[in-house]
Amino acid sequence: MYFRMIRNDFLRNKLISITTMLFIAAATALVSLVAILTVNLSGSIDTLMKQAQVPDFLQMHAGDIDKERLKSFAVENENVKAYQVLDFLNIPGSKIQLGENSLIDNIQDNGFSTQSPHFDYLLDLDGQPIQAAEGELYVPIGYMKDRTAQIGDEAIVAGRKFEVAGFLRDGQMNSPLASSKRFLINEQDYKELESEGTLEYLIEFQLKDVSKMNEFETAYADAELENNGPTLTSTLFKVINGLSDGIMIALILLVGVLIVIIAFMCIRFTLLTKMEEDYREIGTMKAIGLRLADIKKIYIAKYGLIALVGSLLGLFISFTFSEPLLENIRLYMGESQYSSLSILLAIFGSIVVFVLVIGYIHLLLRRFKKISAASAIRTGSPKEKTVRKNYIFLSKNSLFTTNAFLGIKDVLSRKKLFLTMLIIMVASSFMMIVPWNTYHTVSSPSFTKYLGFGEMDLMVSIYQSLEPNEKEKEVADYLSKNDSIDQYVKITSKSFKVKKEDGSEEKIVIELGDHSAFPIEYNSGNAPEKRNEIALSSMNASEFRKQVGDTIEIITDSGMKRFVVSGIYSNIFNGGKTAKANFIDNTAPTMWLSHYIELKNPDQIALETEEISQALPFAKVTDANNHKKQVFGTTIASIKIAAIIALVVALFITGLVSLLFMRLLVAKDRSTIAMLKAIGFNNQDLSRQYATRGIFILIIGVAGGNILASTLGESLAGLAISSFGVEKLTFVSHPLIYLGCPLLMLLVTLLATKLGTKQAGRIAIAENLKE
Amino acid sequence: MKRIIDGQQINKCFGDEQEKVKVLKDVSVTIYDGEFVSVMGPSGSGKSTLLYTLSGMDTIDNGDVKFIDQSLTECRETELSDIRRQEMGFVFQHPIFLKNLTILDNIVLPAMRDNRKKVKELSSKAQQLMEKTGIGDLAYRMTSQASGGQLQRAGICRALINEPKIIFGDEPTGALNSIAAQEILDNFLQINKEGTTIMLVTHDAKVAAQSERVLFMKDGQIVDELLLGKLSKTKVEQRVESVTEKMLKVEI
Repeated sequence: MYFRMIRNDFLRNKLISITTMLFIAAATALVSLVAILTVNLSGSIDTLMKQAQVPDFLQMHAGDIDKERLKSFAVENENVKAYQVLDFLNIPGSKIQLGENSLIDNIQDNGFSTQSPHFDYLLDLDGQPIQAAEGELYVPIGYMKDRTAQIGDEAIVAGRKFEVAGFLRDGQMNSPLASSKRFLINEQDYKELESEGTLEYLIEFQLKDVSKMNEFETAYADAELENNGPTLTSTLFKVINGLSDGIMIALILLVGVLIVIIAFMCIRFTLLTKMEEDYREIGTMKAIGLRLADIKKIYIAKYGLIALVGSLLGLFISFTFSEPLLENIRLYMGESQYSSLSILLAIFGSIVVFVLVIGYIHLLLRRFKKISAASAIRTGSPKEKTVRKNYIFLSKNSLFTTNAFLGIKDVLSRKKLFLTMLIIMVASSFMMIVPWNTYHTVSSPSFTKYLGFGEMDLMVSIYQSLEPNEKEKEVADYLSKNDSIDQYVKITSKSFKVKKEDGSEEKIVIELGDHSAFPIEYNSGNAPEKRNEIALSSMNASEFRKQVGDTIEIITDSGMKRFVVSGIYSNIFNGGKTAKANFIDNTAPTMWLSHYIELKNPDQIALETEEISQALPFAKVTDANNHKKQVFGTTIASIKIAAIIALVVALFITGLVSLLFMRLLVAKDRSTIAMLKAIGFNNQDLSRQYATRGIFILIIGVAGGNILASTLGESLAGLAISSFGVEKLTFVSHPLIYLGCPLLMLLVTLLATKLGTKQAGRIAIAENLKE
Repeated sequence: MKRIIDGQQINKCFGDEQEKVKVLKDVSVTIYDGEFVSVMGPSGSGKSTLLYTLSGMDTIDNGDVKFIDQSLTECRETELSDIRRQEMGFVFQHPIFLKNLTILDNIVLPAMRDNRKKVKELSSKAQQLMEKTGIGDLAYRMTSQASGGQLQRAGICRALINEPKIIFGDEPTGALNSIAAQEILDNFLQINKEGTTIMLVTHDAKVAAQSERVLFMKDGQIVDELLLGKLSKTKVEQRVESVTEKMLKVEI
């Protein structure tokens, strides 16, 4: 019997039933997609880490190296499981040609290595360590993704010919966010190439107990071992590997949560409308002695079926759509070891959505208790709450047209009814704006300010190994004579020791110079202004347990000095451990020297980059924008995809819900519409009245959505981006986002209202007046 | 005399192809300027449908309806709306109002659409109408705070706000007790005296007896007519008797 009732009911309310089902399907699909992606992402990262046997501690080093001393340190330290020193032969991009493409514009530090002896393997796409034959070149996977290279291409490195034999995954440098890339070649080839580049060392350790990382780092620093370069740990490798896809997952989760809310609103609205329609029947059923539970069962059965079909559909959709999204993860990191778990979790997620829906319906059906059999049979419909007070009078209105007045007045006096639509509008505009703002913020030039870089056009750096004093003068001379430069500032990165509270000493790289010329964003506090002030990167701040206002002791040429922490900023580069100050020091070893440059005409960046590179061939010239594009390109692209999807979904929801809502409203208002027509309002008047309702709600909804987006949305996006180490994010928006999104929604709403109220024109006056 | 409504050979069916019910069969009826006409008949005789077709609210299958000189069957939807709003007034059995407006606002509603700028004039005009029908103190009440009879008078005020040529009433006293019904009827008589044509559908002989002319309907046709002439207070009972007599005859 249930089945027949459900079928009849479904056929009678096709549009509503299908819409509800679609929303449940979409909600389930997104929730289960998030489960699948998250589990697979972390699974793939784990697999990659395991197969590649990534080092727990990595010290990059340029310059002289004492391998014997390092070896004895490794043997003596109890926590060391394995130790090795790898060569990383840095070759300028201009000397690397892959097929038709030169890496001249590439900002990565491209280096050549041979396969590691003990751990930190470079893997093929099946996860096996590669053994390169002579003449073979294995290229980082990123260059396959951006189609720089193809298997079989002829590669020319510093005049030597290679054949691109395959692509490799690299546990630590895979991500575009990592600033170096390793190419793999045969030992023999490596020897021949050695003279063509500058050598760096990767000093790598695997630890027995990773939780004692801090102790190990201190021990390493205390031993005063090689340290001319960034220090990295396995935690950072994990974060960098997961970041791009992680942000996409976070945005899908956001959309998913909103769709769940919207699905609930839809159910609420349709169920309450249905209950109102069935008021008399419910009363009759009560009167003839059916128990409340029996009546509820009929409704639960119907919505249960819709929810079940919706959930299954959603699950199916998520399995289909997860494939292309997983492709990127698989390409970079390989198969996940938890893929069966991800399916289980996806199913679990769908069940959660299903149970939530049923629970919510139960909650709504509690209203049945309030229906009295007698009044239901007698009056036929629940009394709408009558309006007792009135503040806005038609007879005092000359501002709005009568049609607009009636629309607005109706929304104001039936707030509860329109609340559903309002919430959906708020959710939709929120869903549209937040991803676009995130995209715009991350892609705006000023975003680097959050990452520890000022808003510069170019950066010219030289490394310590290149006799700095002489070259330094050369650079300074050149820059001071260059007319196209608006301003520049010299920043010297020097290595110091910090005296920790327990008496031990630890290395700290401090960028010395004027930090006010190219200001960055501080999570808290400000840039160092006085000579005794210092700003710490967030990783350093947490390592030394310092907050703004605390003091920190640093050993400088004039002995131990106390510095006041003036600010804390985010920075994931150079291992994320940096500091900024502006005192003068002549003795500490300089690690590298950078000039931050702002051009008079920013359009000439490319031109200037080339000119400076030619004039100062020993220096590394970085085009800041290009740098950012290459580092964050993938991340920004995935955010953009998420933003586009969110936009389309939000518009679709806005349209569908407006259409549905208007149709239900017209059906509900039948007799009023008939009366209005009888007293001389034509179809166009009615259309306008309903359009006013839609627009009025849209305006409030979009306003609410905008406010929410720039408050809650900002914090949410900040949360997603906090994995970059950015703790406090302010949206950089574009007027187009705040104007364009509402405009699109307006168009869709108007169209939907037009379609939805077509029915109003067909309402026959006579039938609906007679009752 | 000038014709206000002229319906010729009106035919109207309800239902679909398989089950067609002829509601109006070749009905012809003419209403003259200043008349007070009532239509009587058993339920299902087609009297309400006649009223809706004559006022252009319902379509007809064939035949023609003229309002003064304009054929309603040839009018577009917007033109029909304009005529209904500007030239006609309607009073229903169950007065339907916008619940979120005051009674005064409901009364000015049809006029506000075209004359928003004259809002002050319209309010005072509505106020006057309300005084005249005896509900002057209800202007700022909501519709839920008035009785059925009071609302019906508000309905009459709404019908009058645009100074129509004719007022149609579909059993306007049907849901009221006899005292309230007589009060409403008195309102109609007063309006008619001031020159507005009135056409009422009713099943109450007492109501019909106070009109000038009574049309009797049965099975979709006008089967009889009774000319009573202008009402004089003394002969009411006689008129009721003759209406009842005719009605009984029709029903048999």
